[in-house]
Amino acid sequence: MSEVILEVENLQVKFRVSKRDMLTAIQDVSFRVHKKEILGIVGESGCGKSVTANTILRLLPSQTSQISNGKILFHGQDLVQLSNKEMRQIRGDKISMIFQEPMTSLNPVYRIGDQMVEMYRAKNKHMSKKEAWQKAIHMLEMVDIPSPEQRMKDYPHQLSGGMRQRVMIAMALSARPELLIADEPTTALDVTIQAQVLQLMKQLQEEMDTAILLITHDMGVVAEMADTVMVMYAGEVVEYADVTTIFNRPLHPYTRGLLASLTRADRDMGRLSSIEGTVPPLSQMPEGCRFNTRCPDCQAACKEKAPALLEVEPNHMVRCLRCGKV
Amino acid sequence: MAEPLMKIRGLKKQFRIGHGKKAPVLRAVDGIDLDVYTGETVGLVGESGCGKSTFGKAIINLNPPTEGSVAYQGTEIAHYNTRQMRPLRKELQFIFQDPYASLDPRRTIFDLVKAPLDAFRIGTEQEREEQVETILGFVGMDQFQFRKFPHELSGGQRQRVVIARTMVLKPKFIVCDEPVSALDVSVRAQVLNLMKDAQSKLNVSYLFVSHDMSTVRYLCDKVAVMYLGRLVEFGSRHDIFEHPLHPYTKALLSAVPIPDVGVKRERILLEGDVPSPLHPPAGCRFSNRCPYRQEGCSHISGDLIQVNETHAVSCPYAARPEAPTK
Repeated sequence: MSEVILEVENLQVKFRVSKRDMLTAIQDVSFRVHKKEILGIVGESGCGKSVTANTILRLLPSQTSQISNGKILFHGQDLVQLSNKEMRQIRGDKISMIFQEPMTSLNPVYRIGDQMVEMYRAKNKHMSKKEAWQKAIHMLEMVDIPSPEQRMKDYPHQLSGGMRQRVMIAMALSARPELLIADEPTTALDVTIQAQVLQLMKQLQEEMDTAILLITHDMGVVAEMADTVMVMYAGEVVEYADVTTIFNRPLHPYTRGLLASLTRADRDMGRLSSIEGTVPPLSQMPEGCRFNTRCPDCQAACKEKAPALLEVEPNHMVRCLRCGKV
Repeated sequence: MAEPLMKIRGLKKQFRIGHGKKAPVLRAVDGIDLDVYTGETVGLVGESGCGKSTFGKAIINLNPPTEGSVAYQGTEIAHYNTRQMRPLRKELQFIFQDPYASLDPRRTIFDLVKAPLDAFRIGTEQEREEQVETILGFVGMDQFQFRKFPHELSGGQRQRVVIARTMVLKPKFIVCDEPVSALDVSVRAQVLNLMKDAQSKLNVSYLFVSHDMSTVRYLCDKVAVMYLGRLVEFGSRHDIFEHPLHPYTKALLSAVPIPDVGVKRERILLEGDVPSPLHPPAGCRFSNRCPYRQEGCSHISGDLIQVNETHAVSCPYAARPEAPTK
């Protein structure tokens, strides 16, 4: 494998819910991202995948959240220890991020071009407006926006959802970051547009050697894009392996349940199996394994002891007491 | 074959944008014919803005159609006013995407499900309560949850309550507008199965409006594909998923990510976005994005052409067997 660029170790994030109480949103999250790798983080809403992503860029408000444990090593440098000023050198330059809803990331009262120029000039104060404008046009060309000169003068609301997300991708990649964090980048888009955007992301990733942390709840998108997959449940990593292993030989009961409950467009199927119950709220996590309330294979031991994430076979990590014994 | 439960002919719904004589008219639904028979599920798929929700609302007069006929059990209802519709409301129901928005936050689950029975004065008080208990049990709610409020439930549970509330009136036809889109994968399977069970129990018909091809394949007997206010293809589930004819249906199907690793699929990437429904292209509305467009496309009527007993398509080139289908 190539060089590791990001290494997250035992990350734990707590949220303040009242003056005295903190809730653990994610715990014991560890993973690595290699150069050019696409790591897919999947899980259901509230499982902590976005918290993980936002924590890497330290985007969570410090008043209400706290990184209570763990390290985020980017090229060996611990991002947890950096000051806000130092963090600003990382954001956008080395690690950048795109979000689900591009309309909330773009300022509605400024033209696309002005926003892009501002971004270039914020990073490089000596760049002339003209040069920045040219660079922005070039980036829009790269993300296949037709007639970019005209689009530069448009306001965000004049663009379609797919175009806006392309603008976001153009902005995120303009500094050629080493890592792109994409938090549900295509969830708000229609399938035909999603297909365009995913293909664009993959193509740019290959051209620019960027690694991508792809957060999604869509197993189809993961299967198509990711090299490695991390499955999260209730704030923990439950399974972590390369994409083929996750889809063809999943071990954790949650991963299996998730895959079995997918509807498919490519074949007819009998009755869907489903995972019983719902994810417990953070404040009411069960003792022992967090999945024990819904697990079909739950045993007495699962209710007492919280399992650790163990490497059950090379590069295949599972958090399950029963799978560890296999 | 028996008379259809719902027979829709030439349905149109237009919105005037702005005021005055010159205000442009948006043709959200522009001439749709559709039959729905007792006990079957018809899927209506299409991308956002194609008019599928508008169609769903128009046929049961939630948003009365501008033109066209809707015959319910042989009776023309398209021109019915609110008072005339009222007795039919218990037979023609609607399930919305967001269950939280359809449930009064200040009433308990039990009361919410009982409300429709009270409104239609069905049975005695005791009979109503018994019915509510039965139906809540059927959708999988425990006794101790009856006194809870909607905010105390998870998204999946709320959608179960919505289904219970709809089913308690023993409807004959339900428009389901993206009922599982807001739900997580594992919960989605539970709700889809519940909808299937309810259908076989009550012999109710569904019009299942969705943008998700995979859930449509799981739930529907017949599928109508909609693009910019018109149907481009209609057929059995087998017709649409195994032998799609219209280039748009093909592109839509090929764009759906499949949760399999290492399967290379031929993907038809469409150019550009859906044009604005204010200015749809002349002739075939898909012509400006169609990979197989030819000269005649801007002159065709766009009406469905019957290919065989079950299958119809709007593209005359795709309908002819000698046509280049690739």
